[in-house]
Amino acid sequence: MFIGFPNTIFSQQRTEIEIKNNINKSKTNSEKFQFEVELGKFYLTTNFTKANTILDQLKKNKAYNTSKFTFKRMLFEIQCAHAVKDFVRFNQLTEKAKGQLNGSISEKEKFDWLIFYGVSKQIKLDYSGAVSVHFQALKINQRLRNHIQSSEINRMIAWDYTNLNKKDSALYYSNRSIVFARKTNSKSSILAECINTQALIYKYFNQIEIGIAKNMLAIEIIANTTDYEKLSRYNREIGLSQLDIKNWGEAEAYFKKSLSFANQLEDQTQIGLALIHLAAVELGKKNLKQAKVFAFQAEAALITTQNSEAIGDIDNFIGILFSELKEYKQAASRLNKALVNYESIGNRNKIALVYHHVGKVLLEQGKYNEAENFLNRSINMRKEMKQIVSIHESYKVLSDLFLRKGNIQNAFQYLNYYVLYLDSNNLLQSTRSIAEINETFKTQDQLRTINLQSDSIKSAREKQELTNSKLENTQLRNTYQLITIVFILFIVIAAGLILKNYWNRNKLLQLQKESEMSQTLLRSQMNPHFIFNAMSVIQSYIYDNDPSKSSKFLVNFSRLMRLILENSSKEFITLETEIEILQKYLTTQKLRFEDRFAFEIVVDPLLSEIETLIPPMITQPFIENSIEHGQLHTVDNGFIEVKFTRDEEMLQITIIDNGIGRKIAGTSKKSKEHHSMAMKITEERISIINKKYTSSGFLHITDFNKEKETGTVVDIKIPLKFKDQNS
Amino acid sequence: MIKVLVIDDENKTREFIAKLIRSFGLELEVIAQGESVETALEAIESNQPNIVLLDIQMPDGTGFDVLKRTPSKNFEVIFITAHQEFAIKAIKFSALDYILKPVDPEELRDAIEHAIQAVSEKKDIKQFDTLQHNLVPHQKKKLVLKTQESVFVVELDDIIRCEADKNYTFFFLTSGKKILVSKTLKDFETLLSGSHFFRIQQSHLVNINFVDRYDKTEGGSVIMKDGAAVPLSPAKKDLFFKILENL
Repeated sequence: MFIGFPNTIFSQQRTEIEIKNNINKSKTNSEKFQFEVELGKFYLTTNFTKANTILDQLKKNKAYNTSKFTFKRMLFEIQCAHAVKDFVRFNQLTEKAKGQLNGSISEKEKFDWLIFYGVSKQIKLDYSGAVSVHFQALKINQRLRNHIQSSEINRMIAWDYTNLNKKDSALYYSNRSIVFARKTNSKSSILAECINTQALIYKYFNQIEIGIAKNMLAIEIIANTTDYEKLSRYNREIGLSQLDIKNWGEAEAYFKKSLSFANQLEDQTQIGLALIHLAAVELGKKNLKQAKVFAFQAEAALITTQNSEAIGDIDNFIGILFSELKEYKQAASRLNKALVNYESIGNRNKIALVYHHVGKVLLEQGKYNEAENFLNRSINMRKEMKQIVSIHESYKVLSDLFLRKGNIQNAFQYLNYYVLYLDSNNLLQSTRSIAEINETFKTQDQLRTINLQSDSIKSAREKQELTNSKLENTQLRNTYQLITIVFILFIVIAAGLILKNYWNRNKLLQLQKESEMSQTLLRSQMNPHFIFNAMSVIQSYIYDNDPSKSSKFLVNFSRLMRLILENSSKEFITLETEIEILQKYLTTQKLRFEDRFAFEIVVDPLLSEIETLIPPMITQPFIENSIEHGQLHTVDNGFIEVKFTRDEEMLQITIIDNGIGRKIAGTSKKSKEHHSMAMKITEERISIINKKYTSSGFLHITDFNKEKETGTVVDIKIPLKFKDQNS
Repeated sequence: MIKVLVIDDENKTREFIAKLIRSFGLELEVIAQGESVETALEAIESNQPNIVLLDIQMPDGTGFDVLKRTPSKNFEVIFITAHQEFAIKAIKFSALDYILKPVDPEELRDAIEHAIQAVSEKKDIKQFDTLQHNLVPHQKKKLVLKTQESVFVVELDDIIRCEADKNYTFFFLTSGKKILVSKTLKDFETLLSGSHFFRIQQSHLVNINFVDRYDKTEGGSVIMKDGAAVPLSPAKKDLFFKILENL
């Protein structure tokens, strides 16, 4: 399983014609070279043959035969090797490029190379190596600050952590990659790739339904593009998940889609893989003849590639097929070949799978001791990798094996293991549904429907599992029914105890949280006066028969309320969320006062890059002051500006307005009261922060126009905190 | 024709309320003008309205400031407020009218019709004075009691007890006076909650400060300092004694 290759195009993505025009218009060699590479990269998503032609042209062109171009061309060549899944060559080229790193290589090129180098570590299954390489790239990226690259590097790290079995970190970086992807101009393909990677992460952690849903979303995003590479890959992945849950019809449809995109792309690996899976569907449907046809078509396609994993896949599959056809000798030889291929790339996951199948074949051949040996190897390998999902299958075979040998005792024992691991599988499923519910709440309607679909897939799967286990075990179960029930009871009680413990701990955490919250009750509460006034304005729009305006106002307002409900009790929130709140708040205020003032929120891009944290709504009381007591709507060209900048280790927040100013506003008792209230609350909040982080934050207020004493400038300084302070 | 002036700091809301009033089909001239204390004062001066709908929260002050600074208060006031618990209580104590934002058209209509009726009656600025008095925090509150004939202002400490009579309520004062008000006991119970008043029985609300003793005879009753015997509901007995203890 590999994630999509890093996208290395720096600027926004152009169409084929645009790039070709640029090539023709190029005045210098380096310009021309740059656009030719860009065209090549474009073809890597649409047609491999054309991409290869470009690579050849670049190599042959003598004008490019200078050191200036060598490294750049090599980077492209590395990318081509990865695309056709020629990982041996990919690794060689990456190593070779390493030798050519020197002072003349630009930061951007070094960044690209680091990403590739990390990928080559991934290929060698050295994920901790990959992480450290990718973190080097992340460091460079903090200087380059490009959203596409930020997205890609976070995506890579997410995948590294996935394979290190660190789910939380994986999802954290994956979400970051999506956040950056959403900020890019060339949203679609970058974003799709990030969502696809997230799908793979969920699948890796056995949350198959979410994986499917995410992949559907990814496809949805690039549905109308010519990015056949991604379309083929995503469709195949969904098909695979459907295959896992024995949803033959759906699986077949997705593999066919994948195949047709792969044909357009002329990507033999992808074609071959799609064919293997189609064959697997036929095998599942016990349609062995058709399965064989597809399998040999797949082999024909794959033999032309250098991809050991894919070739291993077809050997493995044909091995299984022969075993089904009861041609055990041929099966054994094919499985053996698969093993050789998988071992050459060190893919232990697949090796464990082959061991399992070899065990099965040996069992059929009556070689019980050897079979037992292979099955145990498969189980141990999977346990080592914490990939316990498929372990129950091996236990089932072992149980059969001992049954055949007449060793009822052992058969029963392994059956128990089988039930146990099947059960843990079910446990995973329940955590999955919980995650799913969360997901449903979080995401848009569209995803919600997709999730619903996946729900039905899930229930289909559960039914299938249940009937399967029922059918297969009736015989033995009858004998040992009582003991099994006791055993299951035991598991239920244990689970209950664990749950209770968990619940208690949650309660404790809750209490802790509550006490924390009462401390922070001081924290900004949106003035109820504002809330009801806003609702009153909505009412007036409704009476004006202006449904579009009223609904616009209502939606903006309800989003604001939601954000406040979700965030105001937290100690810190991300600057991004804070800005969203301010944006919504200011928009609502603006609508209230019929656009009679302007506002601007300015953020130092560095602050968003490092994911700055900020106490929620620390600026809100002052903005409210500016608008309601500064009487912005009565001032010509009334404006309010909120600025977030960095001042060394401090976060500097400035709120500027050109309202009537403190002097005039101060003549009204009420606005004076409000003003001092805002100051009091904020000063108290800052002093709590100062105490906690031994910082020297402050609040400072001056006039905007010092001569006329109008307008207000509020300066707030608090320690700079960001989300990922260790990286 | 009766003139209605709508004052609110939000243009949108001001126009909307005016429009809503016009839609009632009453014979009224509705003017929407005034978005701050200063402009409100001007609008009242130049239009000489009979009824004023007055927003409480305005950028440079409150609707109460407007009232305070209006020399001749010869109009009915309906306050408009989004959220201002303290002020609402003061308004209620002064038996003045108010509506909440967002506006319930029926509530608004009732308030307007009520005000139209009041326009023809003799003005008494006692209510406004009481309002100003009650707005000052930490001051002994005064309550306006409106009867068919006149308007009374009483201090809470002068009320011994209240007794329900169907939809009316009798007030018994320290002066020995008995005032009949056309509001339910429930209304006053709500209004006086938080003060020293306790509903000891379905029809009786007493000022705890005037409780003299408890008489066990005849199923138990409370004897007030003016000698009146008030029945104590058995259900309220425990709570009542607890409150007495805490005095």
